[in-house]
Amino acid sequence: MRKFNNIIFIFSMICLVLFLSVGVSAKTTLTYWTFLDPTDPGPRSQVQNTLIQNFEKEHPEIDVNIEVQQWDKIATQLIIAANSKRGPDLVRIFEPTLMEVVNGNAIASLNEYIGQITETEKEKYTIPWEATVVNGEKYGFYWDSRVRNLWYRKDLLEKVGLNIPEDLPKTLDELAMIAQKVQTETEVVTGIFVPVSVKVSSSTAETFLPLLYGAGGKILNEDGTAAFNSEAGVKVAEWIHSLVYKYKAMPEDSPSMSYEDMYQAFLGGSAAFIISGSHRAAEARYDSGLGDNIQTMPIPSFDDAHPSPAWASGWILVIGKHSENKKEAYELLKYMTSKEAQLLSVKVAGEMPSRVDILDDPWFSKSEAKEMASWLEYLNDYPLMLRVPDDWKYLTDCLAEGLEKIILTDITAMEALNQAAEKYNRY
Amino acid sequence: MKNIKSIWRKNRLPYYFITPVVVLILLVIFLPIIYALWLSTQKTDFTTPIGFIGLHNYINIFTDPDINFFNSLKSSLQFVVGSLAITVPFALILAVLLNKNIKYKAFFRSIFVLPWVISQVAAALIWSWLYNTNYGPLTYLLQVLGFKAIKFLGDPNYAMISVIFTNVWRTYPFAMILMLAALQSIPEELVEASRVDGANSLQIFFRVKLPLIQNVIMNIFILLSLLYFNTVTVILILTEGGPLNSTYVLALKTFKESFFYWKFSTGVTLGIIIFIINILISLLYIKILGRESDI
Repeated sequence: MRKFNNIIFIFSMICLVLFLSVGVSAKTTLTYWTFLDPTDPGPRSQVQNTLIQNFEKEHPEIDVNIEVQQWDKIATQLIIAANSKRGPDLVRIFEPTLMEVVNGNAIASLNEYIGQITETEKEKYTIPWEATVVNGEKYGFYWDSRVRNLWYRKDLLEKVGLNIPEDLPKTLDELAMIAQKVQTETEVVTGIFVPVSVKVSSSTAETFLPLLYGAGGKILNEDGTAAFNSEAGVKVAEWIHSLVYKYKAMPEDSPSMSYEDMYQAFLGGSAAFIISGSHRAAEARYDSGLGDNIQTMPIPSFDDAHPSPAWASGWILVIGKHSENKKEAYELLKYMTSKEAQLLSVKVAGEMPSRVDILDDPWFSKSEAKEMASWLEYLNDYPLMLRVPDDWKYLTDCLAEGLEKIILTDITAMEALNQAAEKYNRY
Repeated sequence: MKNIKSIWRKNRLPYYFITPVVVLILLVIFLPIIYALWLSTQKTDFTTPIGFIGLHNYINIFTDPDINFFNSLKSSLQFVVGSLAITVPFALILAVLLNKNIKYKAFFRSIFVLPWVISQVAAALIWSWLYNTNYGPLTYLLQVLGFKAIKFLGDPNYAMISVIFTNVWRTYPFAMILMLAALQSIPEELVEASRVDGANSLQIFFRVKLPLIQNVIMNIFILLSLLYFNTVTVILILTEGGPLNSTYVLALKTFKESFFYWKFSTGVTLGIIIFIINILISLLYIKILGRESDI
């Protein structure tokens, strides 16, 4: 009898465990890789949290587990994970790394989920639809769009007697002169920061490229070989060199500084100008409490007739190659890029939208939307669309190494860029 | 033979218990090495091997001017030797001081160990701000003392020594603790006997204590050499090998070739070469250690 009772008990336990397992596995858990820490009180993180919570409410059968990754290591981590046949469900990758993760076989095509898309529907996106299509496969949707602007400290410029906006620089040479003026007339301030270091090669390239294209140059030839060692490239490199040695508006040891060092120095009032992305403006004002003293404008070029072009980029939402929940991940992706989600991001986080069909929202006619409207206009009027190669990191390292040499040695800009181009071409 | 069989029959149980662990350790250590050796003979596309190329990767590493192997080897040796030259004497001095009967000894021991518990990332970030030429406190200190500002991380002539100092700051506690333990294990009678014989403190230290802890010091040299040769994080964050490749050590090059540039087979091959160098360093020290023991 006792033995029979034991058997019944064990059988019941097994049934209970099986029942609970079925119950537990009925809910899908999506793993979402992002660089935004959910515990960060900043506006971008808070928008992310709100969207995830709203999505989970609308889809009670889905849980979203956020895993924070370092922003510049997401692509690397994704490829490594894919190599071991594992990885997240939804990932936020930085646009210059798209070809890297495609060729690294780390993300899934979305063709089976997107179905038939009309040309009209394709046009509702800020950045062209084709930007995330590779060999006929659609790999992702932009979470946001962004442009690189010239940021300036209004309070510091006014301190040296400049009228805003009349006296703002219209050319790169004017920018250098104003940076010099601020540097010499306010003792503790660095005029301008421009990243020129292998340590921050991606930021270096993101700053260099709009200037290069604005000067009439390009980064690569059609055959994939380096083209930045052109007359235009030399002109930009010599301008950067002049910031340090002619105008003395940038420190000689800029190659040792990280982009974050420069950004914090700008917020701290130790720099008057910096080239940064539109996506960080709201956060910068929030972090520093400076409010309207941080202003943005299009990056000048050498020609006062037009600014440097606005490199259209942003974060792209993609699905991991080995995700076991691709359908659910696509639901989350669709939600994050919905009109509702994009409007929230625009209004609260100050990020440029990835879709243009929200521009008819009444918010865009308010005065608080003026800056966003100016960025969209900059992107619309002077767009720079680039499909960067999968060896982006190597390309930017070669370029940054060349620019470092120009600052730290006596080499000419032409020699340095030629060496950088030759090194890249040998890769 | 009969004897061995009967011993085995009597004593085989412990071997059954340790066999799984030994197998696991062999798998975790040797299997990756064997795989790495095989991968170093392959051409790779991202992380996927796509064809056998023999020793091409090894030849490439020693001849390709872009890989610049010998420059990185020189940087690695500078980093290792420079760090050892400062860490070991500094740790020894601190260990000797902490071995004395001073007030608040426990407090000082805790303070001196603190750098070891800080992560490499945090340490590198802290020091990158300390070294900042425009806003860092070190520059301020130099200027207060009447010196010119130094571009600690921005000048190729100073970057390596700056990185070395950060590394020393982070790792001296490890050496200090081991030396302190060794000093404390010296029998007090030996010291007393030397004192009775008329030796002063310096003579006691150099003639009695130091010889007794020299094996520990040699072991510290081995461990720290291997640690320093394989250091990536601190250098990656402080300089990422710059400026102008002046701090581009081999370990960092291995990491960047593998995970930044996706030249996986090159990275793996560099890893094999570093492994061989590490073995040679260890064998050299063991030989010296053996010679010292014979004496």
